[in-house]
Amino acid sequence: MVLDPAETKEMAARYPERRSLVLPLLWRAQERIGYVSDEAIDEIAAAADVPASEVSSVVTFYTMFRRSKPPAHRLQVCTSLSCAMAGADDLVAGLRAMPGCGERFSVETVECLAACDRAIAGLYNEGLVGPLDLAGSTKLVRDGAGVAGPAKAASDAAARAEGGDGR
Amino acid sequence: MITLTIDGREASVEPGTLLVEAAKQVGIEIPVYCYHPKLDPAGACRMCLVEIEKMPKLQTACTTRVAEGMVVHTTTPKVKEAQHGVLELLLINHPLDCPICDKGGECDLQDFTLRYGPPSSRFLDGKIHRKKALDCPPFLVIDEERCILCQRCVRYEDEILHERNIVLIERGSHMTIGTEGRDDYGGYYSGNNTELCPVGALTSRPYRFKSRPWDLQHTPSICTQCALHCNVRADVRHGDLMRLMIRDNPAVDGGWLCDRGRYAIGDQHSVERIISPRVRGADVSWDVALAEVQKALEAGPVAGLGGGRLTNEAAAAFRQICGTVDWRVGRQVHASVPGVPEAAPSDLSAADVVVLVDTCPMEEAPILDLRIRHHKRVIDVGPVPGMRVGHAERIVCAPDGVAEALRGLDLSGAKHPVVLWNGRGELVEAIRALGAPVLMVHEVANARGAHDAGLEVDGDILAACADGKIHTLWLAGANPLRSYPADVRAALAKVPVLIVSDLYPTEVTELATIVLPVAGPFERSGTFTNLAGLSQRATAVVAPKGLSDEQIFKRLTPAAQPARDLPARKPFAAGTVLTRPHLWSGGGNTRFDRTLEAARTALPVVRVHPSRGLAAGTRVMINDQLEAVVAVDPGLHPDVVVVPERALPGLGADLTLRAVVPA
Amino acid sequence: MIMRLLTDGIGEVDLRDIGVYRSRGGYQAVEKALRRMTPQEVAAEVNTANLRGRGGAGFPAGRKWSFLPNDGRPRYLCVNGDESEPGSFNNRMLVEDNPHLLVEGVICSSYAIGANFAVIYLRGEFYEGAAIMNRAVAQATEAGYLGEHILGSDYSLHIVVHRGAGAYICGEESALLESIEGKRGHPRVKPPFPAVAGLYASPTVVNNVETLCCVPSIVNNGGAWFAGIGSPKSPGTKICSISGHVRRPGNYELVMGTPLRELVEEHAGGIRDGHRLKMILPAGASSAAMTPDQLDTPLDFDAMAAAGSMLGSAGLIVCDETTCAVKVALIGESFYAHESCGKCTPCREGTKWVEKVLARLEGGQGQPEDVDLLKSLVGEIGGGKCLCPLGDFAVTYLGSALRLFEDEFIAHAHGHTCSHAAEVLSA
Repeated sequence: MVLDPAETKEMAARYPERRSLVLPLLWRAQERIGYVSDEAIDEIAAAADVPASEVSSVVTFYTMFRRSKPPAHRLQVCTSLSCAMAGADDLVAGLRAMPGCGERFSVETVECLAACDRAIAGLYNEGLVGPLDLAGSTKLVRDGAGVAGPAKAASDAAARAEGGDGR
Repeated sequence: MITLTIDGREASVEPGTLLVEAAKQVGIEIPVYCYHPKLDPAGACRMCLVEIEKMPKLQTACTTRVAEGMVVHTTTPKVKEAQHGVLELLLINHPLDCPICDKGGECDLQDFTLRYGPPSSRFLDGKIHRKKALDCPPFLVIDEERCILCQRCVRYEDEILHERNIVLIERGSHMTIGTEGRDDYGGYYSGNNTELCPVGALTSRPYRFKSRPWDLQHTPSICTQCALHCNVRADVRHGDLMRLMIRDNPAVDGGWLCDRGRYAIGDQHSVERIISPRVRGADVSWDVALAEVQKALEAGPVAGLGGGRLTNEAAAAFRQICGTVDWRVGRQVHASVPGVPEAAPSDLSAADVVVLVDTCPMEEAPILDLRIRHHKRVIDVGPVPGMRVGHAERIVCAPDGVAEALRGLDLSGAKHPVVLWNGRGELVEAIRALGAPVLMVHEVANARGAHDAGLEVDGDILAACADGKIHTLWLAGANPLRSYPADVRAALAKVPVLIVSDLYPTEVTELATIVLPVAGPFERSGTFTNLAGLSQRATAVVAPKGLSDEQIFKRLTPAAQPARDLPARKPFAAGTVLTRPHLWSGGGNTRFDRTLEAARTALPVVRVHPSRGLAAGTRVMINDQLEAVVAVDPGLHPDVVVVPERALPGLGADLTLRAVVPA
Repeated sequence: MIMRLLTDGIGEVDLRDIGVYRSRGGYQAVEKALRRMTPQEVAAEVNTANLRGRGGAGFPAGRKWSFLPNDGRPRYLCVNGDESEPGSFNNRMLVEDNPHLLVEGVICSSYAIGANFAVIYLRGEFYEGAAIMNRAVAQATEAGYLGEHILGSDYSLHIVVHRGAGAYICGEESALLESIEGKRGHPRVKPPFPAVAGLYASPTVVNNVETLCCVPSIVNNGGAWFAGIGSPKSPGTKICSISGHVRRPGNYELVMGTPLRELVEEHAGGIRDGHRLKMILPAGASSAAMTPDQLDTPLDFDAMAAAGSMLGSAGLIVCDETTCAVKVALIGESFYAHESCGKCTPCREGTKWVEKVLARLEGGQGQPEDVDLLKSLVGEIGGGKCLCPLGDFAVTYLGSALRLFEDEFIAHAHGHTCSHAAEVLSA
């Protein structure tokens, strides 16, 4: 069992229709085991009363759901307009040239994170980080250390990251 | 009625009509890909953009409903430009494999490109390559490159089937269709996708590379795999039946075919087919064989079994020749519920409450099931669940408790209730008491025609055989050794002359004195009467291998002494081992059809209640005779075990299951 | 002119704490609405306020509410917090820093339309925002502002915070509803509009986060008061997100009608040192570029439209002269190609093709015909030919850039890489 049946039941009570459970339960599964497994898909299909193939189809539509376990350190760098204008592509290229990339840590690109005021913005695991530069992000992906930044959320995220919040 | 103008032509149509349909009514073609009359509008392909006066932007004719005084243009420069655009975009990643594509010649992308497309492409960048010729067992082949993502298949799976065997995968330019999470299709209605698909993305494995559309002769006929008789178009190439296509009779099939109906035509070329009459094991001429038959008809008491697979004309002739004939050679003992109105398939669609009386429409008349899957209220009574897809109120009862369970039902609140029953067991009174129209789901294709032609007798012909009271027994398209609920081998052995007319060597042809090879489906013409009493014509489209049943009977004179004073028919024992119809368990000619092998499970499935403690997938021996694989079904009555009908001939009422270690 | 209706207290106190929020007058609108006003009166005030949708379309919220049929089916309010337009980040601030204002706005609005169930849909990347919002909903429930019989009235409301999972298209209202229903975020055919058949095919209102955040002050101060702020036809304030080559990127809540120049030059501190303005994309990557001569355009829905662009959700991206117009088009098109849901042909196929052509151009592999090809593709994808507005969004900037900066495209089409290309990424 990936999901907690009691919790699923409690979540189901919040929605007028069971099929709305698909996304919340996909999130829950991913929080619990790091990705969406086949087992999770079957459980979600049963809980939401939709065919498993439809749950699978939904998973492939949303970019944030993963079908395999991610590395412990995962940095997603925004490469949309404001961040691109701040040099996001170079940053990504720099990080990807580092040894260990793809194994110990991953560097992915994402579309706009709604944090253009702190371009180059990124998500370190689940925390919003930015502005990112090569030195700060190198530290992040190497040892999960926070980046210095003026933004509140960035420091919050770093604090959470230090607390090992890498579900 | 709403009046509007399309390209200068005045159209008068029902309110709510979609523009694309209104145009059709006045003979104007608006090209479409995603639109299909049986599916909800999607507005996805954008091929049907038209200009409507007073609207600044082009509108999709497949989603726009008519309005009074609307003025529509479908050929203006703006429309043509949009059509060019959509076709150019659809073609940028489409492969140029039309010469080897089964759809070539009947492909909407080819046709519309010629009629509405740009003269050439401006696309210089590399095409996106995807998976081709993906096997999707049992019957489909998926070509992701050819797919134009009209999403008809995906919507059919959702809206019509409620199954979603084919879904969308990924999104944007990465989007494809496929069976996400499994390798096979997994349903009974895959073939309709090949007709819905406007291109060659979903094609039929059995028809692959078989023919070109322009080489096919089309003949209207009907499917006789079950008692519904869905309307088909038989496509023949140089004398060979290549494929069956939907012919859409709203009163019968609603425009769909099940996979058994569509694909169970591969037995035509089976090497096992009997081609010569045989008398006592020796091939003889028809004249010799029929003379032997005539002699047997005059030598003593005669009876016939079968008729449910014959045409109405042949059935009537069978009765005339043998005198004493019963079509009932299986579990079904009743062909009607006298005193209650009959329901039609279309009533099923309109019903507010459907009662399944120990009947599983998906296995017994699959297209009927499509009419009840979306229903809010289906009451499913019996020891075995009859509703596989969709929701039903399940009333679980013991095998002998169905009548009592029905007595507990109150349908007085229902406006349009319909009862579905397969005529098994002594339930006539209990069903009549429900006071609702009944639709009989017969176990053989022309049971209704045979019943109407009077091929029923009081008493039990097989019991008379066992008593040694029958001299000549004629089995016409019947094999009681597989279909009869009790072992009748001894009874058949007591018959001095056993005549079997059939297509294939079976358990009964082995015992037969005289074997007559007959013309198969699509080899003989005649009428069939479906479960709702509708008589329709089946047309011969290929040359027969053997005489037709009707031709045989017409060359004989009636039996001198039809059997009389038959012993009474005894009810079948209702044990805890239940055999239930299964679409692919080998009824009719399907077990001789190689093209269906992919549809048959390697091992029969035995369904048990979870309380038996057997895990799904466990292999077991049934009565130490047949290996089967366990499926766990919590909808079953806990005491019962279900095996597919005809998978295990002569199964007794008791059964042992012994788990085995797979080899 | 700065006016802090929605952002008052942000950065100064912790408004996420319901105690702090209430000490500053929070939840008075709920008290007032539920104790002293009928739902119709609340709706009437919002109508009088002429509160126009802040999500981009500018459609009056009061009118949207009035479309709900009265047929006994349950009604739903869905909050569009899927903020994903490159350049927009004002909803995130409201969700993270003033969550109770949104909860209060949702309660007042749900009461006005007769909804007993509301969904706050937040884009999946708002991990923290979702946690904050869930806490705010829990606090409000504990304080008696949510749940059964709110403040002793007959009115009940339950709010669910529903997270997206990485799909820009879910900001389109019907795709958002599909997503709440657990499906792929494919826009629906309209009509029927959500007001008639929305969530679970029931009458549904979908409003943006910022729109709903305006409702408490309308309830507290009256619709007429709100209508008197800013531009007569676009009253109220607008939180403008500004980023790119300015000194002080950030969110600035301005009175509607404030000149674009004031935002760029005063609040955002002007263009970074030593550079000059080339263009502004005022509603993020999906908007037509505006040029320095248009800096005096008032920031409101109508004036921005009249200037050939749009206010949208006011996510302004400012580009200086080092920015390559072709590169901007490529970055934008890559975004739309990535975010196209795939349902309709022109968007699915067209955005990818345009991206490929732009990538060739940008990489110096252009063909002379490419400029005409791009112009033609703008027509094939845009002009309302797609099922939803994403197709139009995907070519709006490109269409404007082909007009305003055609010479840059032609240079690229003749095999020259842009002279700015090197600089644009090393800014």
